[in-house]
Amino acid sequence: MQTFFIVAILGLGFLITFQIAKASEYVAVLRGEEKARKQTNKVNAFMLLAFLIIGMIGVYYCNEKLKGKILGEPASDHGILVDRMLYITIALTGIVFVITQICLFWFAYKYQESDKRKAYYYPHNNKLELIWTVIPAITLTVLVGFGIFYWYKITGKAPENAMIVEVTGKQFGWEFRYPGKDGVLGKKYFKNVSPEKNNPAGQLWEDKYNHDDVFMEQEMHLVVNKPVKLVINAKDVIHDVGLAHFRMKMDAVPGTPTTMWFTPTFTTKQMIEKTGKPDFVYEISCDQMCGKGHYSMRGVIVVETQEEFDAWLAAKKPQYLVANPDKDPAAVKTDTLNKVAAVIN
Amino acid sequence: MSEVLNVHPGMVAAHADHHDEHHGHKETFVSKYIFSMDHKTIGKQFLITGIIWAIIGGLFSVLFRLQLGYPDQTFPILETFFGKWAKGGQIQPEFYYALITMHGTVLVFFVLTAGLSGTFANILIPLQIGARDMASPFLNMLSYWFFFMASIVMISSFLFPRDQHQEGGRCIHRLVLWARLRRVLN
Amino acid sequence: MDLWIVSMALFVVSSLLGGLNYISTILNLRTKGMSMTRLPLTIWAMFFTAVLGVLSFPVLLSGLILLLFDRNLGTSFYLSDIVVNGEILPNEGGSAILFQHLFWFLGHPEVYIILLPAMGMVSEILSVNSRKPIFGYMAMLGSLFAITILAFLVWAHHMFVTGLNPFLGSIFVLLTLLIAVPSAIKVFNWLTTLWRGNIRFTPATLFAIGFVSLFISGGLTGIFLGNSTIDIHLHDTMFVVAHFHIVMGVASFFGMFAGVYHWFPKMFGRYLNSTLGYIHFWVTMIGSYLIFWPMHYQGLAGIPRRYLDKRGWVSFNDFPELDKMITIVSIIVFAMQLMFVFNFIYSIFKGRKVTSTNPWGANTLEWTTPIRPGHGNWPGEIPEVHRWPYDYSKDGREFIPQTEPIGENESKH
Repeated sequence: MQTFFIVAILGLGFLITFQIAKASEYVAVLRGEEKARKQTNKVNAFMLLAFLIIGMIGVYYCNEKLKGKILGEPASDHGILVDRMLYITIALTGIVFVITQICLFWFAYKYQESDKRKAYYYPHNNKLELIWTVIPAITLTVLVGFGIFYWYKITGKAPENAMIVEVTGKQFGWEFRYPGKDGVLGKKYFKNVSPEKNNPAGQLWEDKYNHDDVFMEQEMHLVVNKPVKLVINAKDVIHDVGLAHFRMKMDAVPGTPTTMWFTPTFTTKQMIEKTGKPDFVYEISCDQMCGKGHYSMRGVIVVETQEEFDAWLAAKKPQYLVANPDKDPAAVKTDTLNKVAAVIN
Repeated sequence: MSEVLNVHPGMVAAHADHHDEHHGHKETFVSKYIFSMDHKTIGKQFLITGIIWAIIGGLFSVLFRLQLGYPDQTFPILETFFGKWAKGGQIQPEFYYALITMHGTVLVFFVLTAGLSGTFANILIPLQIGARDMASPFLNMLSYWFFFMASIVMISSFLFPRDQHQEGGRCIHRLVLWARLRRVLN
Repeated sequence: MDLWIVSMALFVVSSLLGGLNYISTILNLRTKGMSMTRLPLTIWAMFFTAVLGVLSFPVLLSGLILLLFDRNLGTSFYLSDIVVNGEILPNEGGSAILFQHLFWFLGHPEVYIILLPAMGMVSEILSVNSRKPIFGYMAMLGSLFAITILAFLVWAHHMFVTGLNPFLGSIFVLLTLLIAVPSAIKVFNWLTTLWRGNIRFTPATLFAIGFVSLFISGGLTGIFLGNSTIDIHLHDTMFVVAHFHIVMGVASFFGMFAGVYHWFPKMFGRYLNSTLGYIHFWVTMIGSYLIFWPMHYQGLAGIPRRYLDKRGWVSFNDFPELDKMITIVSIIVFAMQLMFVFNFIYSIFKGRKVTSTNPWGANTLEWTTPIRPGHGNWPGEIPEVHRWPYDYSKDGREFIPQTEPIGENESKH
């Protein structure tokens, strides 16, 4: 019913507008085209000016209304650089935006057709053109300079003490692998991937670096104020590790590992206080169209202190032992105990 | 430019027959409006095809905007039109992604490339440089009909998404392409 | 999907045939006296568009052919290390990034293929309707040329976060932001063309002014995205959507509408209803800004593109009312486009008839043809050209057509 009403109203609006338009055309012919044109000219010139003024107010209003919802405090050291660059660019482009839009609409209003004035024949002025080639060039040099400086800082080599985490995107979720005590991720090969054999990452068990690697899904833990280097893979199609709060992003490409590093500066608990949202979590979003579940490909990052992190990691069992229970000293022990118990009983 | 190039052979005789609107006896409807080699007619063909595509592309955007603006509401009318693609009146993810993909392809290539530069390049180039027609009116006609065929194939690719019925390995290609191709718009 | 590829291949053929034709026509079939620097800017824009298309579309075609091979013949150009739904694909050694390179090598010039004709037409329409020559013809031409060259050298700015070498990234930052210089020249020249003019607001003029406004807005946000540092945060967010819709989508549509309103009398010998034209313009202009301006804020908040439902997220669920507003406005704007289509079809058959050959008082050659030109365009000889097309308000005369010989006492420009 509602749809019907909307359609009916739209149709009616159509019809009325069309009739008015047709009538106005006849009126214009009757009154003399010259005169009618002058009148519409005035109306439109005024509308352009009004559009400028209302538009500028609208821009301000929109900003007031929405600025609280965007760009909370960046939660990483790189985020600060990105935000700084963003503000520099907003300031410079904002000035250009206001000046050029005002010029455009003001000129349009001021120089509307009038019998009193003749247009000014002004085909070119090389000096003027040179000025507005050079000024944008200088402005852009500043922006490029800052941009590249920050870009190298962000994409530069990760610090030596950075902890390494492997992130793998798949349809539609995230997998993580921690290198364990040795700090080295073991080798893997995609043809070994086999969730049935408890080897979802395709690790090569011959590689002893794999023996203490911890594997998990959906939730990643990081240590506050400790640099982290993410090694990013994809299993099936291109995904993208999007970390809006850290202002970081990197594609996950099947067959081509990529990396990024940053230092989280606030724990999840601190962010809950800062944002005032009790349900705040750092989220990993997939930012690269990857299929029908793209919009729900969510991962969670928990940033915590070193002690909390160590306790959390210690409770996890390396994937090697999950896949090969016979190698698990704890399991072997309980197994033997059980056997012994069975014998005794 | 030399005079020779300005006058298209055969055209001098042809245009003498129809200065104004009265030219029916030599050209049939088909040669005048369908397989026309006149750059103006080809331009209009591009424009009209482009407008049809623009309506389709715009309609796609309205459909996915409905889902985006009202994710918690159902629109039973969608189910009547699109059946299983909008089950329960809600646009399904597959359909949503097909819609945005087609919205992009259609508007970028079929409307704003063919419809815009195809139309105005055809109409304006000969008129503004003072030529009787394009350098090769025949290739020009062919250009439109290739575009038309592309349109037909594009519509059928939307109506018969063969891949949806294929399993596993094949599906991947589609997704790989999606993941990559849909960056066209960024 | 295969059909999609075939369709795109046919499309590439079509645009190559068209493009080659345009280039050879412009180079070879100019009338007597029409030297290259006397061409209207529309033609120059079409020329560069065609060059861009001819050079970049084949690359897309090659990319698509490789894709077709990958899909049907078991090759691994783009596929490597893939496990999908538990099934391990045998392909190894391909690179998915290769497709991005091939695609974006077309993809970026494509943006300019769309924009340049609109720019050309806007230059022409602004000049005709402000009764003033276009300011800085040579600078306009030079910037078109610069944009054409640079269009081929910036494709990797779509790929800053694909794991591209950071050094390469910085080069592309430089080249990308370089494009802003010719764009800025064009904008300033359009502004100066309006300055001290005597502007007639036909619907075409309004759309041309709208184009300039949108081009400024969208161009400036391009400076954000072209800067790799900011792009890390904004890449593939709604900010990108807002940016390219404003600068490429809506702006080019405005150029197209301006062209349709301006040259409709030439095409069909009738006028479009201009009252509907004004309504069309104002609703579309206000609507486009209402739709796309707030989208920038969504992007700054980090909301990724192509999310059909954001309710499952903590970080991205802040804008439900905004999304509703955008949807409503977009429906209204779409309805308004239907109104335009209706106006278009109605006016072809029933519109007010054109009574003079030169209704806008323009200088260019198309207005020297009969009201409804037949095949061959000019019934008699093709007119000869004696001057550039922008002699408006010169020496006290409102306009001097290109066909008029230069007078003895005429001042030089």
